[in-house]
Order: sequence, then C-alpha cells, then structure tokens
Amino acid sequence: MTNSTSIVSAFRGGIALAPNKQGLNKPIKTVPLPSELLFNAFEPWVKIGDIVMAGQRIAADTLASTSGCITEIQQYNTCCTIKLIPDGNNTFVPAITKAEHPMAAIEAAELAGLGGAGFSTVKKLLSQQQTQLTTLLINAAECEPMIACDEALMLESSSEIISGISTLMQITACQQCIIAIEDTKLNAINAIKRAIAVHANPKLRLTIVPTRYPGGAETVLLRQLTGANLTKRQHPAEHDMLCFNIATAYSVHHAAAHQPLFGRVVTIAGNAANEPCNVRALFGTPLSHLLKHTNNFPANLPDSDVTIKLGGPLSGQLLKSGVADLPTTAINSNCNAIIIERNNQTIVEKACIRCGDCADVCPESLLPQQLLRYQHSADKLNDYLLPNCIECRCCDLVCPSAIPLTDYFKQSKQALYAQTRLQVDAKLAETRFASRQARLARKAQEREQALLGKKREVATAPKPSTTDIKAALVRAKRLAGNSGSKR
Amino acid sequence: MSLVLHSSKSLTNVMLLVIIALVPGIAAYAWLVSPIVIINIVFCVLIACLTEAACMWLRSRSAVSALRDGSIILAATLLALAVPPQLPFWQLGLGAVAMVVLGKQLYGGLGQNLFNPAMVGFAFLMVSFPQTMTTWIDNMQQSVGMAQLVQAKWFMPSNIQWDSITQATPLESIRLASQYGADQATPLTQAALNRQVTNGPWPIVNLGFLVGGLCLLYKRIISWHIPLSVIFTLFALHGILALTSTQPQIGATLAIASGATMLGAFFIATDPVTAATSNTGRIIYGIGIGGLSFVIRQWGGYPEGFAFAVLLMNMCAPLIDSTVNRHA
Repeated sequence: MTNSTSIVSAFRGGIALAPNKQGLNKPIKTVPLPSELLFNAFEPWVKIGDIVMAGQRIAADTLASTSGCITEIQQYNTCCTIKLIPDGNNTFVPAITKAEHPMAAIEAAELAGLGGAGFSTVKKLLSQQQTQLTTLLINAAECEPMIACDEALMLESSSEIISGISTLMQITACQQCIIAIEDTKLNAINAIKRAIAVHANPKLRLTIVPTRYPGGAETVLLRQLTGANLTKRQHPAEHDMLCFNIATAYSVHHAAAHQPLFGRVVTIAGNAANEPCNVRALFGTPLSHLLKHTNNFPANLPDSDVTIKLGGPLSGQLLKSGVADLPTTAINSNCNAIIIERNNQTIVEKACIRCGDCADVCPESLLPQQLLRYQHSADKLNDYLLPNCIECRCCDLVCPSAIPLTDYFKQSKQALYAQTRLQVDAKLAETRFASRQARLARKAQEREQALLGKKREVATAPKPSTTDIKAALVRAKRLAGNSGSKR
Repeated sequence: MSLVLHSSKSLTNVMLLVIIALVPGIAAYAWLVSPIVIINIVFCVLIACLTEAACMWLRSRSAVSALRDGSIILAATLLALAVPPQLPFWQLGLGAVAMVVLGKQLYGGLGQNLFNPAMVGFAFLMVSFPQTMTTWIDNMQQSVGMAQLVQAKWFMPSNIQWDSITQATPLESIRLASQYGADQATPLTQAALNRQVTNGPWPIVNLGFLVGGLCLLYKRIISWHIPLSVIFTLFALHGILALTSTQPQIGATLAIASGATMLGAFFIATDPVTAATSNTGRIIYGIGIGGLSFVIRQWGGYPEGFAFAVLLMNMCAPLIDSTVNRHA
C-alpha cells in the first residue's frame, strides 16, 4: 500500500465510552421528497408565491435546497420560518451548473461544513487563500456515541470522499492530508484505505486515533495529532492546518461535479428508535417526515416519556416540547443525528463536593468545579478560561452529584457574551461621544474663527463718511416719528 | 445505553466507600486500643444524624435526602475516631452537635462549608474540654472492664480512678520532653521514647488507616496529591529535627506512624469540599497541613495539631485556588 498509516496515543482527559453505533448493518436509507421544507432565518429575501430554484438565496445565509414555491413565511420577533413546497424537478440555479472550476461551484452552492459547528466551508476556504497551509486535516473520528452518519458514508462512498478530499487539496494547495479515524471503526478504515489505494494519491495519510470521547472535537483532535496546544478561540490555521469533516469532503465531491446535495446523512438512534438507521435528508426536511418514513416516529409512547435530541446524545440540543416539536423542526447542516430516548429515570442534582473528577476528564484541562462556583462572576470565569469549554459534557458524565455542569456553563457563556457585547457597545458609544465632542469643539472653533475674521474685516473696512452718517440719522428719526404718531 | 448517561459513582457511593475504607483502621483501633470506639462511633453517628435532620427541618429542606448522601455519617465516624475513647458521652454528643451545626449546616449544608466539619467538632471539644480531650487510656482492657468503662462514660469521670489507668499519649510525652528537655523530673531517653512509641498500639492502627487510604487511592475516590504531600512533609520535617536536635526526638518513621497521621492524611485532609481543588493546589495544601501540624506538635500547646492544621489550611484553600494555575 502506498499510503502510510500512523497511530496516535490517547489525549489528556476524556472518557472511553461504548461507541454503540446502531444502524451500520443497513445501507443508508433514502426517504421520499418531503411535501414541504422549512428554513429558519433572520429575514426572508423572498416573498410568498416566489418560485425558487435549488441554490437560490432565500435568506441572508440560507439557500433553497431544491426548486419549488414559497408558500408561507412565518414572522417571529427576530427570525422567520420560510416554507417551501418542492416541485420535484430540483432545477439548479445557473451559477451552479455553469461554474467553471470546483471552487466556483462550491461557492455557488455555499457549501456548509457538515461537522458539529456547521461553519461555512466556503468561508473557511476563502479565508485561507492568502496563507500557505501545509496540512489538510479530515476529521473522520466521529467520537460521540450513537452517531454513525460519517461512518456509514465512509462505508458506502469512500471513493467519492477521497475525490472530494483531492478537490479540497487542489483548492488549498496543501502538501499533505491527514484523515483521522477512530481505531474501532475497522470497516471504515479498510474502506478508506482501499479508496486511497485506488486513487493512488501519495499525499493522503491515514491516522488512527484512540476511541475516546471527545477525541473528534477539533481542538482535541489537533492536540492529538500535532501536540500543539490549541484552544477553541484559535484557528487551526495558526498551526498551518485546515480542518474539515469527512462528510464535507463528500459534499465537496458532489458540488464540484455540479450536483450539490443540499443535504446530509443523519443518524436516527436511541433506545426508543424502532429501526436505528442512517438516512439521507435534504436540508429543511421536517424531523417528523424523516422519522415517519424510517418507521421511527415515537407514536406508541406517551409524549411525556420521550426525549428527543437533535445532535448526539451528549452534545445535542434537547427538543423542549418533545414529540410536538418534530413537525416544526427541520434538518440543517450541523444536525448529524436524531436521538430518541425513553426517559426512565429522573436524576436529582445534588451539591458539588468539589471532588475534582470533572477536572480529571476535561479534555481542555479546565476546572469545572471552579467554573461552577464562580458562575456569576464574569472576571473569574474568564480567569478560569470558560470560553475554552467545548461543551463535550464529559464533566456531566462523571459528576457524582449529577450536576448538569455544561448547561450551567452554556448559560454562563451567554451571560459572558452579553456582557462583552455590552462592553463593546459601551466602547462604541464612548468613541461616538468623543468624536461628537471633538466635532462640536471643532465647529465652535470654526465659528469663532469666522467671527474673528468678520470682526477683523469690519475693523479693517473703510470708515463710512460723516455725511452718510447724518443722512442715516435723519432717516432713523423720521421712521421713529412715524411709528410714534401711529401709537 | 440511556440518553441520560451519567457516572456510576454517586455521592452516596463515594461516602459509603470512604466509610468502608475506614474499617481496617477501626478494627485495629477496637482490637488494640479499645472496643469502646465502636460504641462511640454509633453514638456519634446517631447524634449527628438527629442534629442534621433537625437542622434540615428548621431550614424546611428534606432531611431524608440530606441523610441519604451519607456525608454526615462519614464526618461523625471521623470525629468519633479522632477523640479519646473514654471521652464522656455528653461531651462527644456536644462535639457531634457542634460539628453538624457549626461545621456544616450554618454554611448551608453539604458542599457549602468552609471548614472540615469533623475537625470543627474536634476543635470545639479540644478548646472546651482540654482535660478529657488530652487524656488517653493506654491499653484499656487490662485496667478496666468494658461495662465499667461504658458506665463511667455516662458521667463526668469521677467514679473511676482515671489517673491510675491513663497516661499521656506518646506524642504528649515527646512534646513535653522536647519542650522542657532535661528540666523534667524524669528525663526521657531516646531509647525509652522509641519503646514507648513502637510498643503502643498506634503504629498498627495507623497501618490500618493506611491500608484503607490506599484502597481509596486505588478506587480513585481520592487523588494522591494531598495524602502524599502531608505524609512526606511530616516525614521530612521530623527527620530534619531528629538529625539536628540534641534532645530525644521522635524519628521520621515513627512520626508518621503515630498520632492520627494516616487517618488525617487519607481521610480528613482529603475532604474535597474544604481542600484546594487543582492538583498543584492540593500539593501546597498538603504541605501546609503537614508543616503546620508539625509546628503545633513540636512547639504548640496541643499534643496533636492535625485538627488545627487542617482548619488553618481550610482557610487558605480559596487563596491557594486563586493563586495557583487556573487549569488542571
């Protein structure tokens, strides 16, 4: 085999969790085209009744994922939901079909990253055009339990993935590419190895990382591979790296072939899922549609018994109203799994005894017990590096007092963010005020200058003659006499 | 696998494991010193639980949930192990009440207290009843029967000739010897001192607590930082003193095998609520406890300074946490 395979050792912190990938024995399912697609955005760029094409912009950062008609726009306070009825033709906008080179096609399709953060692939690629990077890192670790969408994709479409990676390497002009996969994903490793052998690209390297959560988190993965201590606030480019999810590479392949997917593979799993599986979903597909067509809709369970998470069992977002939220929630680029669980136990949160187990498992080497203690003090939270928290929930998992630490940290982060924004606003207001004061002072000075000039002008002007003055006095007296007689 | 993934290690499990880890030490104590320690533990736990329940009731909280986590049972056991076995019941009971009320509930219960509750109870007893708190019965079974002793414990120690059966602990003798030196009526030789320490039951009792402490380390209930730094500091300081002093001194090895060193290092100083929390912080905290307890043992007014060392370092823990590095 031409490629080299290397193995890295375990990182600090984290937990060895059972992978529990359920639906991998079946091929990736497809569901019929949904009767309607939902897009959440801040402000619509379309009107009701507009006919849109796939890839057409319908809001600031949202593209229509297929062609159809806008039938409803629901406005809320700060956002809106756009409803699109697909026409079934999937006509692309001309920019996509006529793109001359891969980057243009990717830009036209506004490819979003398919990792957890959903960061725009286009932005990532564009931001790196000036700097020369050495390494392209493809994240195929997929460390979170239950989520298997990337693994399923590697098993079925390894060739397309490698083709997508080659395209990415062309665009970024990287000298090498590292594909990181967890050591328990043996079939995926073999599939990727075979695909690399077929493509015979000597720049591709496979790196086996230990199966340990959260080894696939960008900061943790980079630390494992490079030893560089990168935090969430830094960009991998500082270490001459650019990191993409493996599913993004698959999307790149399709976009470069003028057939962008506007969709992703989603894992459906959990102990209340009837048929755990991986399924292809168009962006905007309501969750209820996906679940119904994969025979996973939790219909025979009372609503209060079911919890549904969008995203993995650890990092996912809980649907607040459970089953009732399914028809109104739609798949977007960073939604990699739907986890349906029966709640069978209620956990009572107890007091923190500061045992420090959380600090032992924290992959970012934070002190969660201190972050919890100082949750109302912004200065302390910054001191203890709260912004570095990657919200992996390892601390929640080991807490003997069952404290949902990450939930508290998310709240604290929001408060911190709001405070920073206030500070930024205050700074802006201050500079605005200062510049206004300066402007007013300048104007006053200018006025004074002008007045002085006038005075000087008057002073230097030739004196009027005495006859003129006398005539003026006579005129004035007459005027005064007239007004006096009137009175 | 459930969505609600969480640790198998619950608060109750942690407390239970620590109590189980105390068993070898308690057994050695009961066997070699006095079985009355078991009665003391039961009595102290009972009073502490009643006080805890009463406090929770006054604070309109669930008494059951507070008792269920087992933290107060552990604290009461530690207090009963720290006091002299013949301490009258009423004093022990008062100590237990002080432990729960002053040491824990006044701060808001579990996880909120600044000071180690068991050591608050101990310090309360030490300053209130210095006479009974510094008198230890040596080899009790030979001198007086169990029934007689229990009976005596209900009252002030007046109906037994205590003087005939008690004597100062080895540490007390050493303290007196090193403080007053040859001026004392019966000067202590190094050989006599060594004999006094090694012949007593304390090295074995300490060994029992060491075994339990190592179990806790193995089960990852505690980390090595605090116990090791406490023991190492005591060892080093006593060693330096023994090498440099002309007076008879307890050697480094005997120092860590006497008194409450092992109980303190593994079970008391490691209370996570009141200790420093980062690993570096823990080491500083342990060194502080070792150093202070050496100073109090050697030059202070009390034979065993561990409780005061722990309380003093409890005060320093927040400072340590905010000065050492902010991440693990």
